[in-house]
Amino acid sequence: MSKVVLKGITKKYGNNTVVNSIDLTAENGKLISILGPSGCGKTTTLRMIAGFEKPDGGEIFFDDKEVGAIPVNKRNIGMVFQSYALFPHMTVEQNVAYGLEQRKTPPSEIKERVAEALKMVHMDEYAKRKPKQLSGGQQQRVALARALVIKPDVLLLDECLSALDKKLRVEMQVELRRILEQTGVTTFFVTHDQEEAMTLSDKIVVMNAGKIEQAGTPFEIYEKPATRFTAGFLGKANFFEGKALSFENNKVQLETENGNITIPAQNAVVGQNMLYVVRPEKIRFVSEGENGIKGTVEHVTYSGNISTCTVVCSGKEIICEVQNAVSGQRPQKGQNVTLDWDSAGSIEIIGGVN
Amino acid sequence: MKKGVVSKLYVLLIMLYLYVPILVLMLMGFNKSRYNSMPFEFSLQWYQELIGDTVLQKAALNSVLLALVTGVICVILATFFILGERYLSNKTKSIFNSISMMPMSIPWLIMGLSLLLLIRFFDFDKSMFFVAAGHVVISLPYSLLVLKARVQSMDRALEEMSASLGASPLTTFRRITLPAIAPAMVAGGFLSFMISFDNFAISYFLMPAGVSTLPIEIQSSIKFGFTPEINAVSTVIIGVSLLCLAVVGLIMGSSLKTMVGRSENK
Repeated sequence: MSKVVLKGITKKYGNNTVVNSIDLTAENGKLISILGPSGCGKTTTLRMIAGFEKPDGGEIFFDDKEVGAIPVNKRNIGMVFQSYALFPHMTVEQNVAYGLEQRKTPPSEIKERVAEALKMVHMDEYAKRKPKQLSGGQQQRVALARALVIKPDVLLLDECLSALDKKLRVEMQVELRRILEQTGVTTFFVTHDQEEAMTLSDKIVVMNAGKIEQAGTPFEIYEKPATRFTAGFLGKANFFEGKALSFENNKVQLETENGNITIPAQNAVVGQNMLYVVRPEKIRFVSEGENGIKGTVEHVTYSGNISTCTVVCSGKEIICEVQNAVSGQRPQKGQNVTLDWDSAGSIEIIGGVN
Repeated sequence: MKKGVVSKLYVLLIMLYLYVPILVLMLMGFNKSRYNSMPFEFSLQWYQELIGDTVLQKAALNSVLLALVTGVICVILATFFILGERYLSNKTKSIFNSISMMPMSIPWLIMGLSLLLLIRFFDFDKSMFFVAAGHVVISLPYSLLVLKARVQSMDRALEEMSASLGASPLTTFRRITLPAIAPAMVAGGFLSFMISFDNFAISYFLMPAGVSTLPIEIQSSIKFGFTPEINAVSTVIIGVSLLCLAVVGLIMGSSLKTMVGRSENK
């Protein structure tokens, strides 16, 4: 179990800079998600931590030890791939024992620790099976046991849940959390699934085009996105952008490309271009006659617990979500509505306007 | 219904076209007539003669040994080639690929002749060494093809996983890569073996005097008038080949399942 620090890590393929001088710290025993669209450099970053790829610049530390010159097989890492990569010609037991054998662990201890690891992932009954006789979820558990049994300094998970169907994935997320808390290993988790990153992580690192957009707790990332990319990538977002014409009583009037619009906000600099992001669930429907933004419901998508509505307010589409509670009515298509939200619901993205 | 009958008939015709000559050859090996002529009269006479024919036996043994050496060398070379090739850039890889497959498109006759001229040029004596070398050149592409297909479908993550678990590159090769490609090595080796065993042109050009292989022996016996002993020896060869094929199929069969199991995970 180690603290992992990345300093100015850069990776180039030819002229293409895949990872561009990133700094990152993973505190001991924490789970860090690296989140981003495909091609953002997240997997490359993980592979550099593992030692599969050599950085073109920068340093990687496990605790205080610089690991750049240490080959993969000497780094003491645990790894789980998206394909699980279980050795097909070995049984579950042999798969899990493999790492311990490389460490010259005595056979009696190997047996004990393999049994223990398989118990932890609830796979002890399947010890004698071959990987092809297991379901995706079971293979996933074996892969995890194999990575953890060697007591790695760092655990690296590469999109390891994305091959599972949704129900199983949610189950495995809970399971993963439990196992990681039990073992207390520092974990990097690469994913493109923002929901997964939210539920699992102590810290989320949002990457885009080889750079870190923002790093913080799931709460910070969602509620206080620092960039337009982060705000748009995690969850749904309504953007309001334009020159602030006036600001009083926590209302800002913006000159947008769709005309002027007045929205609640806590801060604005009159005369400057501003960018606000408003999460759909912060928006509420208020009764007619109250102050607010007037619009027409263009589209309603029912998804069980919530309904997602697209409301057009003077040419601008605003997405909002309403709870489908027992009381209260759901907005109907074509209905004229008034929208409002707390001024704190408008998150100002500083430096977001270019 | 009608369509079914027609297609079955079609398949039957193709089968007949492919296998009737071989069946006739095998049958005539059991015929008493010296000239492969009717009426058919069962006899094991030609097999008995075969047992006494040391020249033909020696030639057959030479062929087997030559093919065995060729097969083993081809597999070893092909394995190194395929595993090493993965570390090359795509451009270099495609150049290497074309070069290594070239012997397939060069007629064996020309290959044999050019090897002979090369030996003459350097004033070497003809020897079994050069015969084997020639056979390796023409058989190697077949081993390469089979192994390449296997290695390409192999999940690189397996080897990376092995390294991440602390295995040295050598251990990874021995415990992960080798078991994964072993069936392809057997199959590729078998293919190269057959190519070499069957080869006439290269052997004919390079064979030192006084030594012969089965194809050369059969060819010369046709020249001097042959007996159904040739049929008998051909039948034995077919039998042995089928047996080898069955063994390879058995080995490959069980590993095919492993391959399928893996691709489902992807």
